[in-house]
Amino acid sequence: MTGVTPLDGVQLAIINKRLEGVCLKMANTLFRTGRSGVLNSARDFSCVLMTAKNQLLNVSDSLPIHVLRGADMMCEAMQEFHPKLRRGDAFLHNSPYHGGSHPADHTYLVPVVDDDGIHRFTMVAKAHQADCGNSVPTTYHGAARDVYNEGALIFPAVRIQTDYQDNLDIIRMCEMRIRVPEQWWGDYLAALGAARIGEREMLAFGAEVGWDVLDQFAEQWFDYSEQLMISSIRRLPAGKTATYSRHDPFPGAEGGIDVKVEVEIRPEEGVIEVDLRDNPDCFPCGLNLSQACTESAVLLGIFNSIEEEVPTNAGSLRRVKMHLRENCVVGIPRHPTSCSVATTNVADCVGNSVTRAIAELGDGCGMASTGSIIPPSIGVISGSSERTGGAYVNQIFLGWGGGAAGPNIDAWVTIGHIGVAGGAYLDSIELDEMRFPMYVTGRHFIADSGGVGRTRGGEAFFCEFGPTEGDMEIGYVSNGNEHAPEGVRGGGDGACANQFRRDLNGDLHQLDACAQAVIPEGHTMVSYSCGGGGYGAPVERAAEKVAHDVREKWVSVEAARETYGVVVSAAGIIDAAATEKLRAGERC
Amino acid sequence: MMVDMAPLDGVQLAILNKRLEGVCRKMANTLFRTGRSGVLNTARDFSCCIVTADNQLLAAAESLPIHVLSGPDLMAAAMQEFHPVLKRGDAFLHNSPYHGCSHPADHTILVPVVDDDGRHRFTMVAKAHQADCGNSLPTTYMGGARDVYQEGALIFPAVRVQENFEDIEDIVRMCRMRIRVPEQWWGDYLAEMGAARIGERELMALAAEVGWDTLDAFTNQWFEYSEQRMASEIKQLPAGAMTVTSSHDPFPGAPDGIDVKVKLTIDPADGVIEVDLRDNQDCLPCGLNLSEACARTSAMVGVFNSVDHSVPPNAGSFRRIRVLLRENCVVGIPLHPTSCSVATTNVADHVANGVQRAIAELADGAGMAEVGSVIPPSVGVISGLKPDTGEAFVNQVFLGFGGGAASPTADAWVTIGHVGNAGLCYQDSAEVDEQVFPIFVKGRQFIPDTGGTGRYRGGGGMQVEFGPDGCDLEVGYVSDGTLYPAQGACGGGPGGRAQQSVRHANGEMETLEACAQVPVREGETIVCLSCGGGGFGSPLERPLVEVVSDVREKWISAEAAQNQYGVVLGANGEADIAASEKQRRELADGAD
Repeated sequence: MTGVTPLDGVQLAIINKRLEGVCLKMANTLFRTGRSGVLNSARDFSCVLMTAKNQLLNVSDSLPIHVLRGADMMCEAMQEFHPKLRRGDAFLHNSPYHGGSHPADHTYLVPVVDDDGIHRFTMVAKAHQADCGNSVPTTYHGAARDVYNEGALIFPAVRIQTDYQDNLDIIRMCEMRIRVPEQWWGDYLAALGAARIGEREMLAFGAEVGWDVLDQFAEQWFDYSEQLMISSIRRLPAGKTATYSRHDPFPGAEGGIDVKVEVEIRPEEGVIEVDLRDNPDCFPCGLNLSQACTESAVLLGIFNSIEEEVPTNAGSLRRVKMHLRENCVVGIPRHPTSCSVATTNVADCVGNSVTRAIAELGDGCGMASTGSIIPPSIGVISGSSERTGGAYVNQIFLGWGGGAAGPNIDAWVTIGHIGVAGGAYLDSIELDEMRFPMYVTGRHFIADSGGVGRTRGGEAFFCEFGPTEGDMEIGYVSNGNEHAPEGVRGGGDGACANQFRRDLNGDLHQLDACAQAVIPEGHTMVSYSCGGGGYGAPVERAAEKVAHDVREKWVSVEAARETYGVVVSAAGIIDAAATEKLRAGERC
Repeated sequence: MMVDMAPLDGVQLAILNKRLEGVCRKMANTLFRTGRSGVLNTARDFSCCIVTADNQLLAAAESLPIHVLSGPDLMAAAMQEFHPVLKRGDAFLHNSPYHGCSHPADHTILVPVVDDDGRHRFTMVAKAHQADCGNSLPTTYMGGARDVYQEGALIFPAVRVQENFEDIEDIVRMCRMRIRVPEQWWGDYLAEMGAARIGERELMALAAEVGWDTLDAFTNQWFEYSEQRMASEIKQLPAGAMTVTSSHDPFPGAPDGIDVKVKLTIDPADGVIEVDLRDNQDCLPCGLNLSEACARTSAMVGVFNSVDHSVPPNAGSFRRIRVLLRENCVVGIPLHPTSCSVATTNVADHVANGVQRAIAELADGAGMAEVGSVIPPSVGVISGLKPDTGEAFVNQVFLGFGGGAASPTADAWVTIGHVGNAGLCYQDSAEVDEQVFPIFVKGRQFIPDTGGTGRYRGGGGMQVEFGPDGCDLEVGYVSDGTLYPAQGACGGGPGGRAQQSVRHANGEMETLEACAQVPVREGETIVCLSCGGGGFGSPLERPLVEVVSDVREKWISAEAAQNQYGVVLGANGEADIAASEKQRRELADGAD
């Protein structure tokens, strides 16, 4: 690096966009070539660029829970297990004990090696699989008592290509133990193709501008990002608080899981410190977080609470200090603890607690809780069908939790959950019905299911669907059946989730919150997702906005009157006098 | 090459055969002395054999028949298909039932023996039943698994695990992540790899001494000799065909049980025995389906149990056994992702038992009755956490198996285990088990009157009572024979049925399912009875003096002696000859 002069602001911006372009090309490759719906429709994947020192450099539009932390640890494991990296190598990694988020997220690591054999960067393509070989056909094995019961194949940075040639032993092992092997193979080609596209682009870029310039850029970009993070934290209120979140009782965690998050903001130092050590030990179920997910969940809670222009990379992450402990449900799991559901349920409790803690420290900061998941409407469906070509297994994305209200804006209703931050798409019903032997009888938002508040929480989805040929198995892990997503600073909670099987007579039978449900042909699954929490007191919401909510059927006439203190007709006409009187009374 | 070789004489053949058997024994001794898990270093549930370069079984001294008669041939073929270039220093891990292995718990190490010219000459095979293979429950017998995914085992279709004699660490790390008690697996891996490498070294040394061409010549002549031995055995049998049915109990995924139909044809003119298993039901959504290796092998086990024991079991003698299988059949060739988790024992035993019983019914003085079914909790897989250290443990115990089958010339071998392993597995020492695991063996004994009655007696069932010592215990087992007992042959009686219960802390007994993964709390015990074996010939033909001895030794009760064997005992414990003759006439008349 000697001899490289510092880059100016324009150069920094250009190189950053070029690198972002590399990640976008990777993502586009994966999206356009993925074989399973979870990739080519729902976009449940991430592509990032790592430095040779295993620092996160560019995340582009990846899912936060996938990448804020984890890619660094996975690259470290790659380097530890394979000290000699050569051009043409590729590694398959999904081990939650070595930096993976959860075993369903197959990750391909491709070291970018220059002409002199020096490892310069690592391209990372992480894709949620339709199946990863679990003992039941779901990628979220909530009830798994350990990694053995979970059943997934675990790849701790296993070399899957040498000299750009597949290691067929590993391919054959996957084909023997992952359901619908042809689908896995297509997704393998897509994810590896994405990483190889990234490698090609980086080799070309390195040849164009020089590797030393890229190294120089990384240093300066990290410093710049850190400075932005510092100034962003300086605008937050100083203080320390603890928030609590609760995951519903599940098999293996029959008493539920209480998550406690201690957040301290020290604006003068430009530091946020989060302590998760005062939490229960790991549970004999699949809800435990991997270290990658614990840290990512904290970070995404923080990034949801600061200005959006702060780049998410190893530079800005330096300003967050975390305290974790081993064998903690929100910490560092010990093998063979199962982390099958690490990216969503309990991770959401952590992320939501962080945003709420920051909101508690100052009005105008943080957020409420985003709706909990995974309801059956985004469960993993499986079965067998002649029409659609034999055995099928795939996660569908028909409707999930509503978003959280922010301090100044209503919730993003289709955010998905806090961890994906809207990065995953909702499925097209038409596409799902073409690809799978299923029929969606209905999907709509539910009025009054978002948390009330000065700004409104996102509404819950109602979804009803069932098989058209043979029995369908649906695996899901629906948190929020008991414990509603919390509002903040006087905002109301989101609605709870629920799920039923509707039989041939139309009768509803309630189902467990964590289950592998069998829906016979002719029956349907009726699924309610969670709403998100509201922010601030509902009586502070402008009457005109409430009238609009009523017109759009987000809020009922009754709720408008009783909760928001706004007297309004179904057509949205406000009775100003009655409203003023009512609101005056409520304020007293 | 071989064109210049003079044929070997009988002495040379015998010597080379013993040398090769010696190589297998050295492999086996290595594995037995260095295996880390009890299933290897105490129960000896492993096999070592030599396969030719064209994938034919050559020598398998002291191996478990169900492990090796067919399987090593198919596995070596998969190795060559997937890895066309074999190099010295390579080793492969194989346990895929879709590519020739018996069942996924039998991790097999294949080492190609490559000469100095780089030519692949033989393959050394070490197959060892693992204490754990990463199933979704802590058992190596997932009877209830609806497919290979639910079964959970890692499947290795001839995966290269060493190159240049160095481990491929990626594979080792994958195993450590997904096999319970990884240090135990690692020890067993080293033992197996060591056994295969010892075999490789010994074979290289033998070839250096006698030459590869001589070994090739030996192979051809030995196969021909073995084939002739088998042919002449079969030529002594009567011609005939018969279909027998042997039934497996109802199990999860097989609610009606499994009737195994064995159509057996003896063709003495051509010196061939044919076993047709095609007229059987399709694969079932459970772990009982046979792998191709086990389907073929179990048919051959029944034949070898019915001919003179000196016929060498190798690819030569196998030429005289024709096994007909079909795809997607419970006793045939399973289609992925069908589970074959329990392929070596339960249904395979019914094939072997059916074959030997059919031969008994067709040929006077040949064949055998049925051996008792397995796997009762007394040979189940135990697991838990050790109370002193909190360390996880998992292992199969071998505290009491099924009783053996009676033959046309002898009483049963009581501790044979089951028909597939032919007595090669050892019974555990209760003392050693108690030292190694936090368990207490409260009792272990044979139960009178549980062997099938007959001119020759079936082996008795064993009652075993054991439980955890200072912790909770989980026991996984798949106990066949709770409903359908082992059948006798030629008038012999059936063996006793299996039973299993838990004795609660308050002494209350509760019957357990036949196929289960059972938690046993501290203070509770498992009480189980293994199956007895079938008897051979009419019990009324058993000499009085032998029945008297049976009663004295408590194999049978005085009541059974009188009611089943027609032997009336006097006050002195000796047979009352006159009363006995009368009783036997009456029983014979009653039977007509």
